Amino acid sequence: MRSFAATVIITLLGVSALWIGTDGFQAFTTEAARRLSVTEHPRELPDTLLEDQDGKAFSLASYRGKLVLVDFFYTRCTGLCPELEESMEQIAEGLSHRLYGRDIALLSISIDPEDTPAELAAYAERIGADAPAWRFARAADAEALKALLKSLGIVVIADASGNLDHNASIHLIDRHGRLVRIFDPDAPQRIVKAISEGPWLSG
Amino acid sequence: MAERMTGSPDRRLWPVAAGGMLWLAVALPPAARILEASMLGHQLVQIPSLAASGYLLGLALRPHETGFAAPSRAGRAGEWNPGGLPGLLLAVFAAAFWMLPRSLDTALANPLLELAKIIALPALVGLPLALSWQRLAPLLRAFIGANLISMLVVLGWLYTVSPFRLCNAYWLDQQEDLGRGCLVFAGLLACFWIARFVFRRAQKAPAAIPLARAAEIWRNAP
Repeated sequence: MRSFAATVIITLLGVSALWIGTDGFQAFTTEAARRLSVTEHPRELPDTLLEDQDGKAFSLASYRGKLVLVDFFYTRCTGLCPELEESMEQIAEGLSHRLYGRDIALLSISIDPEDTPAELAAYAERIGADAPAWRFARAADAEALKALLKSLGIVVIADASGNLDHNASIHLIDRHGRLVRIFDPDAPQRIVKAISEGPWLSG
Repeated sequence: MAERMTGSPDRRLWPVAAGGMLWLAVALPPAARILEASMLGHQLVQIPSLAASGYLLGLALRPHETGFAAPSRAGRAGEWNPGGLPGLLLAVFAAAFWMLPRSLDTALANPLLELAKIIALPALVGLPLALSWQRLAPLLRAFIGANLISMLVVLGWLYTVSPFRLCNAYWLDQQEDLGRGCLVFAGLLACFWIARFVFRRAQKAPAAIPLARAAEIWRNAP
């Protein structure tokens, strides 16, 4: 009898611990938990000062009234960044001309403080990004970048050679400047569909 | 339980010492930081070692038993873990929790969770496993062994082919290293398991009867 009770109690406690630890068996990784958390509770973002590929300063708040799709990259990156930017390019192509640039903008922010506006411009040109609808930018300083990454929940790690790794995802900021959704960059057409049919354009 | 521990103090001392030393070697800095610097070191060396340290401690606490079919089994009826199933479940749930990529990230980012990890793995995985393993039915033990190997193969494959990082704290290259490590570990476990099975079969095989004795049995047969 004691054994049966112990089995039941341990099973209940074990399932509960796994349930809590995975947000109801939905998020087994930190990245999945971040995406789920943003979907359930949109986040306010700090008004970060940025500098684009033309050397022009602007703030994240200047996008208020538009939807912004934000990704993170660095110009020396040979890993996932090119695939991430390719997804952004496909999103730009997939969005209707009526929306792209007017209601929806794309923003790629460098995570490498050493990226210069000239390097950003060369990178944007290589990809064929059309500013101001799609801008490449860097944070005004390391502290601003750190605060922005922290508010988004992005973790950047560096190896001994200075190569960086970070969350591969595309972030949707709504018209009020809140982070409302984090997308997997794997399926850009699904992102286009989600934005076109989602509640954010009218919100 | 204490009165049923019939092993001599000397025989119980070595697993305690070995378990304690293993725990100190993998749980505390600087070794812990070195192991946790790589995903392979964290998940395939530190975590199993922490569980193993608890298992060694459990060997010292384990009552003297001769196995699943031991006569004392009836006497264990009043205990919470007579057939070993509750202890096994405790170990499985705790191990599953600490194998989540999310748990690894959280332990690295939060010192309290790191402390929970280095205590929970010996106390909730290794220790209950040591107290339960010999009480489990042989078929269940074989099932668990086979399951562990297949799970390592699946995890190894997943870590090797996933294009995305499963842990924020580690590089994709480190994830692939862990995947290959899991596949090698699964292979070694499978080899060990097969070798032990063959060795035990050989030990149990009946001794050959000398030819003269066989002839005598034949002659005397009715």
